[in-house]
Amino acid sequence: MKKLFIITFILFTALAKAQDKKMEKEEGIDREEMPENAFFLIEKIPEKAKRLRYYYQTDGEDVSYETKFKFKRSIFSVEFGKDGKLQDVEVTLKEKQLPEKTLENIQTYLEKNQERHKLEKIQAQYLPNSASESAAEKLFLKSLSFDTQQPDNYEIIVAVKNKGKLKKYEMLFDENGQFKNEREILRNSYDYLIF
Amino acid sequence: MTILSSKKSSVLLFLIFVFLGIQNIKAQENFSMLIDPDFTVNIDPDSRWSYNFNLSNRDIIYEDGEYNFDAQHLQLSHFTSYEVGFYSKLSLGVRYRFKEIFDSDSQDEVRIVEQFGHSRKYNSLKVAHRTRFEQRLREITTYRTRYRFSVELPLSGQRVDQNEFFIIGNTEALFSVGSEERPKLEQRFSVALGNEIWAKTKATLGLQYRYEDYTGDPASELFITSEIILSL
Repeated sequence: MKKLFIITFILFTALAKAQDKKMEKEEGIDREEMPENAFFLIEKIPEKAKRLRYYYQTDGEDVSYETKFKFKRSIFSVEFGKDGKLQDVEVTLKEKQLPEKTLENIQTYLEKNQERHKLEKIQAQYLPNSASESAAEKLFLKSLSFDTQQPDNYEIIVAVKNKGKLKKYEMLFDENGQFKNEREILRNSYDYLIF
Repeated sequence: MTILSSKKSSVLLFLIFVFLGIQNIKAQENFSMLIDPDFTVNIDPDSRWSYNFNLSNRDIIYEDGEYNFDAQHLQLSHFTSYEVGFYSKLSLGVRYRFKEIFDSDSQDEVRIVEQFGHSRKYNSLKVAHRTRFEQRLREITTYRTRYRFSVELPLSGQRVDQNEFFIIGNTEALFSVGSEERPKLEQRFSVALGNEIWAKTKATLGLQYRYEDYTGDPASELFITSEIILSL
């Protein structure tokens, strides 16, 4: 009997490594590992910014880099392509930081299309209008004054419940709060943390 | 410092902590050490219902100042849960502990559990609250209320990808009453290192420190816990 338990114990605890295969990955990296062409912007991050972090992510095919920091009580995510070109800047906002009319439009859309909903995360999205360095710099500076400068879009993570079914979406609304598109997000199960 | 070495150093730090922890606690009286390997299957289909099955075993490995292997029980549990609101679940569970096969003096235990769980992610931190009411039917019947607070933090990046490590920490307060025993208070602290070894499969290895009956006749136990969790 003892042996049986020892064997089960070893079996249960054996930490096996999975075989290499194409998969999504996101990890923290050092500043030096960011693409060279991204540095002209990284250097523009205000000195007052806190919790400056760098990330690398891949979905198995495309690669991108991200810098995150906290500034004016909001979290900024600056995303770069593999070549270091700026892709977008996203700034987290609280509901009350949205223009009243915009928030009203978003809420009206959700109320009309979902039985119940909950806004989990709101981000103002700033998109560069050309690939040039000067456009990127201008955009970045614009995003830093997010409290006065209108973004191109609002990206919202929203949990919805219809007929008892819970789903999560990443929805895109334009600067006036008009719905543009949505993408369903895989919902994580946290059962392993509860039981 | 590169990411690889920072990952390694956090694992190393964890192991040092574990080792020092064991050396320290062993010096106390009324102390025992146990192992508790677990195997869990969580089935969470695309509906409001979800199911949890668990098989575990507990053995004493250190007691009364000496190392000694003594199997305690084998346990089967099942929980059925129903999702309420956006982040919560109500569950009803039943647990059976086979004790008699290891010690003819003791009786098997049946436990009925009512549970409320709430879990949410805040950026990279996952937070879970759990409240349980239990009816432990054994030689004597004990009623127990417990609350557990857990957090999970990924050790690389902002989310746990395959083959990445994470840390889970939790603390739980327990209060037991029964007509044939004095009310007892207990506090537990756990820390575990986990890894998503395959898609939908997690493995954890950790320590749990239990400080039992601390207002009456205190005793402490240290569990070496390990778990394989399949999420289907």
